[in-house]
Formats: sequence, C-alpha cells, structure tokens
Amino acid sequence: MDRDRLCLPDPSWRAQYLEDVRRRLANGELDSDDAVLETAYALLDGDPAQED
Amino acid sequence: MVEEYLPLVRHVVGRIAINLPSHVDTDELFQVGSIGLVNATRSFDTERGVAFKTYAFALIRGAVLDELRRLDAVPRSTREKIRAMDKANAQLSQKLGRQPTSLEVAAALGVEEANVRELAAIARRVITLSIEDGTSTPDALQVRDILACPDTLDPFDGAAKLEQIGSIADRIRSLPEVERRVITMYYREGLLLREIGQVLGVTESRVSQIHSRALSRLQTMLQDVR
Repeated sequence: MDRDRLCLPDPSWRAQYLEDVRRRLANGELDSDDAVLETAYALLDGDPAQED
Repeated sequence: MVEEYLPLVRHVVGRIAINLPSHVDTDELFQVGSIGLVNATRSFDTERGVAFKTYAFALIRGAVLDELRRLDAVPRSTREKIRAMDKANAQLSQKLGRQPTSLEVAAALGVEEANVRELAAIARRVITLSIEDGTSTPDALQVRDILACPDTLDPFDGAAKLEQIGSIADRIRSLPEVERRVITMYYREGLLLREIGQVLGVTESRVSQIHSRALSRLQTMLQDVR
C-alpha cells in the first residue's frame, strides 16, 4: 500500500470479486436455497446502498 | 445430523469471510459455527414450523458473528470516526478521481493528519472492516455496521424472525429469475447496481428498474415484518 494513501482498495480486488460473482451465477450458486436464505436475511437487515 | 449440515457451516463461514481481512482464522470461525450447529440440533423444535436448515442457518451465522464481535474490541465512538473517515474517503475519491491522501482526508474532516493515520491503522486491524477490498462504499460498511449493532442480526431473536425469514425466502424464490438474481446480487453479494449491470450485461438504469420492480413485489411482506 502507498504509505501516503489510506487503506483504500486495490481496485483489482473488486474486479476479481465481480468475476467470482459471474462464476457463481453461471454455476447456479446464486439460485441455491442458501443464497435465497441469505438474501432474505440481508433484505431484513436493510438496503446497503442507503446506509449513508 | 451434525455431519450432514457441516457443509452449511462452511458455506456460512465462507460467505462471511468474504468481507474479512485475511488474517482472520476461518478455521476458528468454522469451529464456532459448528458449535452453533450443535446448539441448533439440541434446541430445534419442530413445533415452530420452521425448517431445520433455516433454524440452523440462523444459529450458525449468529455464532460466527458473535465470535467476530468478541474479537472486535473497537469502541463504538472509534467505529463512528472510522465510518466518517471512510465516507470522506469515498467522497474525495469521487471528486478527485483518485485515492485521496491522508492529508486531504484530514482537511476534509477538519482534523490533524495524525488522527487520520491513527484511524486508518485501527481500521486496518479491526476485523469488522472490509479492508481486504478496502472499498469505501456503503457496501463495505455493511459488515462493520452489522457487527456494531448486535441486535440487527441476533440469531436468538426468536421463532418469529425465523418464520419471517422463511416467508421472505419463499417470496424471493417466487420472483422471476432476473429479479431474484438482481436482489441476490444487490443484497447478498453487496454489488452496486452498476456492477450488477456489468455482470448481467445490461445498463445500470435497467438494473435499477428490475430492482425496483422486485422490491415492489416484496414490499408488502417486508413492511409487515420490519
């Protein structure tokens, strides 16, 4: 990390994460019962984009 | 029965670990989650009308989050300062088109640069932060906020919530595929609408439409349970 910078993201991480989501989507993992259940939990916890 | 559901423990730990720094011992979390599973097998009551998997999921997740809360000793006041720093970071990044320096963030917050560096050091070590990705987006704040507010995800908050979750899950399953996937990617995976558009190969505005439509379908139920 650049010492003059804060602990901000390595932009490549997000790209890798998106790629992982794509892969899991293609594998049907996002359609699984577990995924649905976790989504239900997340929905009950509120909208992440409206936290601030 | 415990062995049968150990993959569920791995799954729960794996999902939570996405947002944790690499130094967090996931094996330890797996052990804690397994204890949650054992507790679930002991306390499960078929009279509750909730599937065991739903019940076990709640207790496993709760046990893991409790452990993370235990490991996180950062006072709430410090957490709020870190949150303010993250927000300033995000705003400056957008404004400047690059990552801001600690001096720039300090100026934006009206504090000394040393304070910002100190907070940044704390933020790097606390396990509640999404430091691995380091994103300063609201998505990154979610885990921190969850852990800061134990009540929001208390797994032992009774059968009523479990039933609500089961009902919402049923409603999500009944959504059209594209809506279900958008909702899953937005809430479970923490993607931004723009990022979901990239994954699905559609525009952000299209994703926004799909998201709104899905929410309107779910809205009545969510209003009932919140």
